[in-house]
Amino acid sequence: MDYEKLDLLTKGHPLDIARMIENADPDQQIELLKQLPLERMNAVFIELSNELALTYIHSLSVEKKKELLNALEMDEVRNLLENVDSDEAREILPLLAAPKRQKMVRMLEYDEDCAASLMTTDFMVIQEGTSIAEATRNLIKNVKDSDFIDELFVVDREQKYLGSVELKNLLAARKEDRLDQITEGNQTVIYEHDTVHTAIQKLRDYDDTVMPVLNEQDHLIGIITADDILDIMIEEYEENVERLVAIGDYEEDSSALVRSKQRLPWLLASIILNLAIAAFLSLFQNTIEQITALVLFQPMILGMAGNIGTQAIAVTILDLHHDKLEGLDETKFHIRNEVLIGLLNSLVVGLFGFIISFVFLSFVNAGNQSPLYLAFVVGTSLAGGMFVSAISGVLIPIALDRMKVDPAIASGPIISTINDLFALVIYFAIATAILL
Amino acid sequence: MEKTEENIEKINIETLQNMHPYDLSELFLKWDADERHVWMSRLSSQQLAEMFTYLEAEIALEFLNELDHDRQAQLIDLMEPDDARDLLSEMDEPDQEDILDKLESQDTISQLLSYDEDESGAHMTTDFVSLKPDMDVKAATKIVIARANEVETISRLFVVDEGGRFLGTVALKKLIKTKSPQSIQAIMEDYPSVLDTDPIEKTVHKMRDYSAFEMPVCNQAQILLGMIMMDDALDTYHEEATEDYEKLSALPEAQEEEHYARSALKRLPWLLILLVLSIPIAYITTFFEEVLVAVAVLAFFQPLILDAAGDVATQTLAVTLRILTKNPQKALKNGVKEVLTGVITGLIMGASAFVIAYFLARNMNSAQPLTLALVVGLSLWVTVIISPLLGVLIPVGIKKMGLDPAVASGPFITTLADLSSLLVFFGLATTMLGGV
Repeated sequence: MDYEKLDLLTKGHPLDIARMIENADPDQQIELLKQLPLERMNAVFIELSNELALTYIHSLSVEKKKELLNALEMDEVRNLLENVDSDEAREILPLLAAPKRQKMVRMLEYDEDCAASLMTTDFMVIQEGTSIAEATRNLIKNVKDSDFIDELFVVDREQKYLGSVELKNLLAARKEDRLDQITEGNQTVIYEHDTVHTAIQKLRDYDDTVMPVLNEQDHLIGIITADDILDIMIEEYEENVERLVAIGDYEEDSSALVRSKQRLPWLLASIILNLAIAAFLSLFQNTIEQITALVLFQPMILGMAGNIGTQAIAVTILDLHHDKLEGLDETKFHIRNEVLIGLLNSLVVGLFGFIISFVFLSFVNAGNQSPLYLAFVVGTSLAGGMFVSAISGVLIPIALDRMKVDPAIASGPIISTINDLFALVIYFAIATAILL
Repeated sequence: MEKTEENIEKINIETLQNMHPYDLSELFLKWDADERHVWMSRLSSQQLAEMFTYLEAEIALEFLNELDHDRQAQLIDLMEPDDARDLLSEMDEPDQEDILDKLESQDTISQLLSYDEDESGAHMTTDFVSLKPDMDVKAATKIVIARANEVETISRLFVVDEGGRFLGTVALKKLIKTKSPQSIQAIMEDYPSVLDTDPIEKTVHKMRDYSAFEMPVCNQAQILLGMIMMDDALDTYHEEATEDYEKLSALPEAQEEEHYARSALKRLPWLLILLVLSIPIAYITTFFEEVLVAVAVLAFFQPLILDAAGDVATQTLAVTLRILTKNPQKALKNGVKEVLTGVITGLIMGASAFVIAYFLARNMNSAQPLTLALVVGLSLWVTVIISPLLGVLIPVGIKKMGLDPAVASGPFITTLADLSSLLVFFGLATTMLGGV
């Protein structure tokens, strides 16, 4: 093994070590991992791909397995357990020390949307009434590598949560200070059954890096740290965008074939819907044969209806996502606002559309239609199509959300195709009525 | 006035003093100017300063302006440097200069103000404990304890050489467990860092990858300048992500509780630009009048082609924007995959459309149903290959020009994709059906 690799293994950042090992020869990987001292191993282990992590675990003796599992952070063990099949999980679980195992079984019971599913149980607790000197001594004696120690948590004799002490205040405190003088009691807490969303919101609002998790009896059962929250936030945002454009679960290194497979269902659905629209519009075959110039403005009407719809959908989804539309009043207010915005902008764009198409038709010869009438048809259909699309852009995501369906689906190709249908029916119907 | 005094009587000063600054900031938002005036004179400067950092900069400034410049400077001096920078950057030029002059932390804030909002340097805190590699652990621990109160966190300490160059970090856990004599050098670990001019989004992603609660910021010469803290990273990420999502949907930056007419007015410019952009589409269509008159039912298949072009183009756009924030070098390679994806999905989409269009065309009594269906299917395939090209080249091009690639919103790309797809559709139709 070359010197550079050895240097990295002894003092590199765990993520860099993991990346180096992932890129190494497959038959060398396990060898490299075994060279790591245990206290580095657990930090590196959590950065490994699931595949390599499992191979490594399998390669260890039962004793070594126990050692590694017990050194890992609780939330990492849970990740591991959730990524293996149930047979393997049954094999791994008994290797944990009894107290850890009990905690783990409890943690595995939490639902994925539940804030408690994010928590870790690696933190330091101080009993109420402990002296500063003793608390510091306990910290130095008992701290484990995986522990979060930026804040220490104070509980009373019944394990009830009282507040937290910042590490820097503990170390800077003078011997004669009392613990309760440096304990902050106004910290935000999360309850066991709060949603992940609540946890994200609170942590961000209060600019915290850690929040204690309490059960209904106010007992401290775990903590949620900001690095996990950041992880979830980024995942959620990326999922939102993925759904907005219907690309499935996008990975940078997925092949063209995988991407095609993920995207095809929505795209094909959109094609079939579009062809159904074409079949329906053939009702107006007579109109279009007589006034070919109508084709000129079809893209404009479809495009603009789509654009205003996208705006309405995006605003609504953002608000839903930020939990701003929980109450009935807020929802009503949002709908009223968006409908009014849609109405105003449809009218203004319709008016401009009328003017622009009139000017355009006056210069460009497009059949024997009166430019004024044709432009009028374009303007009114623009306004009508856009307004319908704006309304559905607000109502459909909210309705889906109330039905417990993910509102981001609304933005997929399907809704835009349905909006197309309305816009075009309006267009051809008005054209038939006015021009024929 | 009477009403105000009554309200104030109800609120107990002690409750306020024990309140978390975020909750206090929520109260400030509800109060009127008189109430604010009363409480700003009664609460401690420290508490007020902290409270201000929880408000949106614009609102904080509005409230701050109810105080004179000396008092403003006094409060701003108590804030963390990055929060102070946020406030000052929102001020008008003369106010900013005047207050900056009065600040004790003038140099630090000016340094932060010299960075662009998108650069990591603008978000860093400049208070941190740094150690020298040849220090003994005992001396180092003393320094940490002595400086604990001035910094945000001490769970990780930063090691720099005589010239201030960043060398690595020491975890506090390790420091307090290591027995003297032992040098800092011996227990130091490698640690990632970012450049002060790196985009903040990239830095946040790096913090996520390394689960880093604090990320050192260095300049070109590797001199350690400050830290990005996790709580600031969360906030910044949230803002940036929301902004990008809005841009993808051609939405202006949203303000809370705005009058609907104002929101409507802000969304209008994009809509009007897109309206004007759709005129060239109409103009191009006039060149194909001949084939349109001959085969009017082409019009009914136009929405299909337009939709597919728009959907595929925005999918690639979303993917490209993400790559550009994370790994810009890979954007073009990813683009190749996107085009390949287009080849595959387009083939399947085109084939299905061909079959369905054939039966539809027969129903519409088209003279050449087979050729018409072939035109539809082929155009669809070509369109789905071309549109991803736009979704890659336009954001990459915008980035090359030094602008934010997210200005290439979904609707903008869609309009361009419409234009290119219609050229393909009508072009093929003229070639294959034109002779009717």
